[in-house]
Amino acid sequence: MNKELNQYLSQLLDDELDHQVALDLLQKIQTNPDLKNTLTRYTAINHALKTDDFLPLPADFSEKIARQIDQEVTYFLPQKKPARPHYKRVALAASVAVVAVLAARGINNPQIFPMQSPAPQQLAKQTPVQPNEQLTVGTTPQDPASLNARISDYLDAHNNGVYTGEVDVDFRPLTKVTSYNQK
Amino acid sequence: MNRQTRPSEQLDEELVARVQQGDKKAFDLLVIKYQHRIVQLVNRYIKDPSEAQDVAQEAFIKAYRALGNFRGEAAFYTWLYRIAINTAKNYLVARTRRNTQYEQDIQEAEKIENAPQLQDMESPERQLLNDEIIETIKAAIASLPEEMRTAIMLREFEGMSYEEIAVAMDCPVGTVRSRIFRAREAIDSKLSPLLEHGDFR
Repeated sequence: MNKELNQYLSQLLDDELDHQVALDLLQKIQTNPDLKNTLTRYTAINHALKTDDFLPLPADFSEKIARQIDQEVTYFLPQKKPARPHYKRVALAASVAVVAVLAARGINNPQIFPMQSPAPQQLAKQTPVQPNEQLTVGTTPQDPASLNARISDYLDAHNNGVYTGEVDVDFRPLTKVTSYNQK
Repeated sequence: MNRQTRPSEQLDEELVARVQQGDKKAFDLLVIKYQHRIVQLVNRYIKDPSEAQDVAQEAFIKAYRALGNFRGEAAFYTWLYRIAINTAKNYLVARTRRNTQYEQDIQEAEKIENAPQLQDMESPERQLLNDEIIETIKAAIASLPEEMRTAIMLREFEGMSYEEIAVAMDCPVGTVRSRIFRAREAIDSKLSPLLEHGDFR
């Protein structure tokens, strides 16, 4: 039995042992000091043949390491790195989303973007205004008196008569020039 | 990848996976498997067997702690090999600094003689015993039957696989396996008396 195991040790050194047999053998080595010593000697002989230096290991070499490892925190599966919040990406995505929402609302609601003109296709689709429908300025209905006052103000402000002399205009200077020590 | 190394790497992968799941005993198997190679590797840098053992132990502990980051992109031994070399180099740097400090102070230098790291340095007696062991191994190989000597030499000096040796020696792989094992057994039996009386154990 031992002879067979020793042959397996020899094969293990040469990486010529099947996976399962090697695993079983290593487990036996773990609990069998004789096997461990034999492995140590075989390995030292291997090394000595190549280097002219005999370098045996103490029998308790692996046990010392095992004792130290026993004091270590129990090992778990490799921990994934905690997901770092990608603030820049989130901010960029949020900005794009806001712009998209505003743009979508602006298309459907001209109040948000009053300068925006409808596309020609949209104009074509619009139903013609019926003659009996009341026209309103903008989109909100106003009472006729205030509408007339606004139109009147507009016409006064844009009256070309001030340039042609048809209208009397009081051209008082809007600023006064003052100076000190005027005689 | 060499076909012959596959079983070994598969075994490593399985053991590493077990360690990563919390099985500390599996790491012990990896230590048993690689302890000699790592100590020999470290000894090439440190040049002191006793210190090399300490550094190799440190390397194994570091490897255990870092095993969570091992993704299997390289073979386990390659990864362990790098850790061992780095540990040995760091140790050498620290030792050089330490020795430089000692040299600056003569009184401190006197303490070096009693320093534990120097007490472990190879003694002339140990060197003598080492030479005797090497001679015994060489004599044992010389006295082996021709086919056993050829098989072990092709394996150890040429690094040939069992299959390649079988082709070279024109015999079944099983015969090669047996010849190499019997050669090792013969050398070991010649060596045992020396080791029992020496201070290697």
